[in-house]
Amino acid sequence: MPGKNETQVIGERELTTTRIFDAPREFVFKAWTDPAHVAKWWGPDGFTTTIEKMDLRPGGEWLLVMHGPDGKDYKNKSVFKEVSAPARLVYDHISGPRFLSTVAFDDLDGRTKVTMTMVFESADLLKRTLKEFAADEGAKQTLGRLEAHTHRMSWIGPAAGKNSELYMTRVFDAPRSLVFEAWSKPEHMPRWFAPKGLTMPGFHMDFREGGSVSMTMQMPDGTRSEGEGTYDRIIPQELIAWTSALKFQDPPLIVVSTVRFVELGGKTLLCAHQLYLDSGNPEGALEGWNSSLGNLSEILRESRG
Amino acid sequence: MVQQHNTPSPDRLSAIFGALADPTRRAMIATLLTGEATVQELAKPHDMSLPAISKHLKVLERAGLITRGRDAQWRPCRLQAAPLKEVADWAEHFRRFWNESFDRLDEYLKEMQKKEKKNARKK
Repeated sequence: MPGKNETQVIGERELTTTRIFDAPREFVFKAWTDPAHVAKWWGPDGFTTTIEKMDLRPGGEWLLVMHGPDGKDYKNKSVFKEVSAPARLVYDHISGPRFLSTVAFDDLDGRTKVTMTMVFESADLLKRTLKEFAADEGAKQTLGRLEAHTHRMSWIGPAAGKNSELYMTRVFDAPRSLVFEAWSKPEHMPRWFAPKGLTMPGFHMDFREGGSVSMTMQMPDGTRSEGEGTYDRIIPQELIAWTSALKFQDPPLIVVSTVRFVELGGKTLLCAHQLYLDSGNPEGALEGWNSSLGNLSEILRESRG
Repeated sequence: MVQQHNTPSPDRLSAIFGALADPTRRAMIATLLTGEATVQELAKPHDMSLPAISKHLKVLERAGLITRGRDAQWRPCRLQAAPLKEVADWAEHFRRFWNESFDRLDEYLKEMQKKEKKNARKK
């Protein structure tokens, strides 16, 4: 949605573009600082980008090639001056036109304000960059592409031992109240939560803070896997957090989950985070595999074709 | 979807899941947990021909779950630990799980909306 939540100020030798993102700050910052993600949105509409190097430390180099719709390649070189996750990035764009770019990420209670300020070496250089490269329009389009990317992304957080975490976003073409309802009512959850091919012979939920939730999933071969948990935090229409123990292995896998619902003009952005705390021994994990999750993953694979 | 360096490729995971999906092969893995074994020893608990057992072993071998000795006569099978460690990468499994659940939720929300419209007309 171009123009939405977006402002731009052209000063004497600086260009400031601000956009309010319908996405939490950790997602926006990750999208901007992980080269695998940056390659998917960097540049104005019609461009693709190859990241050759992205060393996110003060003094670290950032080399990228933008491939224009006209078939031309544009090489860019910057050096990071400051990397303060998840709030601020400063880099010096040293391949011409030279400018110092500061990107600030402000948390607006689940949304994120991104302010990108490019300070050029001279007023004349800014003028020329606006004229030759339409830098103002380019900056707007780039931030628009970044926002679209944050609406369908996932990544796996650093693992400590066998613990790991998952971040994921997805947009649903339904109003937020309906999406929240699908998550919060016992008649809805079993209809969609279990992946295709699995049935849910047992399901119970007491949807309130401190209330319990339990489910049994059954594989086509009759193998069952049980899980139970507690709702830790509920903010109607906004957030559900729960902790569960999945008993396909012994000791169970503990999963701490949070889903956040963001209103998106009639649509709904879902932001999910899960932390997996595995205290199981390797043999226990293998036994767990024999009984359930191996089958489960196989079913997922088949249903995806 | 972004593939991190420390996680196996989807193809590789699929091969592992495919190999582990079969009960005979899972039983073989369980036997191999106690140490290496010959094809004959692995075949014993199963009512199967040796060629059928060999087929299962090939699937496990291709998935990188087991290795086999070089001795053409004896060729003992042994568990390869590393791929099983990859399998224990919970985040990667749950990424698939959630992707699938979200696809179903997407469908289900459409159904819910249709019902809402119908009910609105009745009133």
